[in-house]
Amino acid sequence: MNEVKLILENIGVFKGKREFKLSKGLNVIYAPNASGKTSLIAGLKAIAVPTLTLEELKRTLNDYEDKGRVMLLINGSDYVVELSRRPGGSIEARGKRLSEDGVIKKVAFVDLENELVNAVYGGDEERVKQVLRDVTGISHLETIVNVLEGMLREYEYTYEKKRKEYESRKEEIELQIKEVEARLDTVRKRILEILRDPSIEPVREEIEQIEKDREKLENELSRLRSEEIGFENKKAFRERDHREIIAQLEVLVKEREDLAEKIKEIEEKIHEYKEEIEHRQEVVKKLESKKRGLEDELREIIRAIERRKGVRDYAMCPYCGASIDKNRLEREIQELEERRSQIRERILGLDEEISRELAYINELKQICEEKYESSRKRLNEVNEKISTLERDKRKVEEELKYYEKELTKIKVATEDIEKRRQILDKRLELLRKEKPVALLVDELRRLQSEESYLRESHDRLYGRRMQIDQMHKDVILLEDKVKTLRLLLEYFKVRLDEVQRLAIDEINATILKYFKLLKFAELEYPILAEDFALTLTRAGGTPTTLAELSDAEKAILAIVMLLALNERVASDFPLYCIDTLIEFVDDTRAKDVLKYLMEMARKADKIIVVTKTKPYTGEPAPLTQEDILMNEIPI
Amino acid sequence: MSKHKQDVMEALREKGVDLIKLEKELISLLRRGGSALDVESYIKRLIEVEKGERS
Repeated sequence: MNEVKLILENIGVFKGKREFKLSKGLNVIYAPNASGKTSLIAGLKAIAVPTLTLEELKRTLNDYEDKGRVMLLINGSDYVVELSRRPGGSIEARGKRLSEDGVIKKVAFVDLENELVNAVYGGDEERVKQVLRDVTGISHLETIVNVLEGMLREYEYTYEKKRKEYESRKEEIELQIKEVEARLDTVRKRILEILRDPSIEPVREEIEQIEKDREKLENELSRLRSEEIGFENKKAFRERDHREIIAQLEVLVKEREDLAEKIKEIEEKIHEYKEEIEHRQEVVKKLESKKRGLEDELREIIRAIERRKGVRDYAMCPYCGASIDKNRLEREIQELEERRSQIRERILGLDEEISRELAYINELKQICEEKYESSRKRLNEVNEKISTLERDKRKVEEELKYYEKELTKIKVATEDIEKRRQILDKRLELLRKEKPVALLVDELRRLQSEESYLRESHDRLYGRRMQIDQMHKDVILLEDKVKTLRLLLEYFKVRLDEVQRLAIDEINATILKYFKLLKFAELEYPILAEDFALTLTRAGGTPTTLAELSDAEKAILAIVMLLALNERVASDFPLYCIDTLIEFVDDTRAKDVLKYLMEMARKADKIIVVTKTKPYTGEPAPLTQEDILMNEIPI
Repeated sequence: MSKHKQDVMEALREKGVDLIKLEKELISLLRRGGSALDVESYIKRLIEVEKGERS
């Protein structure tokens, strides 16, 4: 790993492709402002770690380009990261990086975006502590411990709740089982005692016979009751049908009466219609006679016209030989023709009048016939319906009579059975009065029934106890989980303590290694206390604080602390970059710091890249390979 | 290593918990940006499985 190649394409101030070489040891990028020093570091950061912020990504890609690329060739391996601008303005970076560990950015890139540098420059000792805890992984262990504490509380609560529930339910069931068993024992003993009495058997048999007979009667009663219900239901249905039939009949009878009335009215009107029709027929006859008269007249006129037209061309009359007045003849023809037209028109008028009259006559005839016919038809229908309903009504009434009869029979039978049952009850009562042992039989029967009930309860309680046993298994499982969580919490607490002590010891030891570098900040060896608090002392022993340090001192302190952290958590990572911070240190001390870093880089086999601004000498020019001084101090 | 730590580790080993793997995975989860909730889910999965299924 003597030479490293870095290719930047559209990165930072660089437009297009730029290639730079870096070497093992110290690389000082010595160039004027705005030449691309920070762009080169941004490119290195993009190829080195995955956790760049959106702002860092925006600064990495050239403002005027949508795509950029960083390539790094190191230790014979290629790493490429592609940058692309998305429609919303955000930048996406994809590719193979030198490391996927987010902590690398915090310890390998010492710039103004670095959390520790910011904390040091802000004089914020609490933030310094927090960064140290984050970088060393202590805060992660604290998170794990906190999570485990929360989970333990939650599981302990659930476990206690379930355990108490299990115990209380178990206790309750056990008590119930004991009570049932005790009662069962007493009942069984008493049953045996009663059964030992020899006088009990004949009475028991008699009682059993009476009860058997009684049961038969009860069964018969039950059968009769069920039959009674059946008949009652059927009767109720038929009664409903009967009511409906009567209602329908009422409606139809009313309709029949209305129809009869209507038919009577139509018959009366038919007479009026007939008179009207006859009158109209008379009118038609008169019109036709008038029409015939006109037709005769028309024929006469036509003949007269033909006669006149026949003699019109002769000089004299063909009959009498008298001379003919032609003009007079023409006039007569004209008059006759006019008369012919008038008669024709009148005939046409009479035809229309006759047609109208005939149409009206037909209409009258139709009205009379249709109304009459439809009413007659409906009347027939209604009569048929009434007949059907009356038939149905009779049928339903017969059925209702049958149901009544059956129900009366059932009532009689029920009364008879109830009487017989009363007789049996009296016999039983008498037996109990006359023979005291009968009471013992009653007790025996009651006890046997109780024994059966108790046995059933006992079985049910055992079933419930088995359910509770399953609950116990769940409680045991939960207890095991609580134990595991307690152990895990114990382990991580121990680890937290161990790692914290180890980290503080190691960081203190590493800082001691850079004691010489600290001297440039006029500081004694600072010590991290157990809680990562920083103890700062001026050369000479005066205690001081971060806020009291100058910018140069802060820069050197940040470089030292990050070197120590880098050695602890990123010893295998090949890069260590310092951007801008050297600017805060005066040239004399900067020269010494760079010399020290050069020495250190050689020992640690690292590539240390430091930016340093070259005084402005003329036209601004972009960074070139010549601006990178390898293992050479520019000042 | 303290006796207490040894006892705790032994008890967890008997329960089938691989502590080295667990610590490594939890730290790595947090370093990748995981949250306390992710850690809780991971531990819950670990303790909810039967002994023997843990690896």
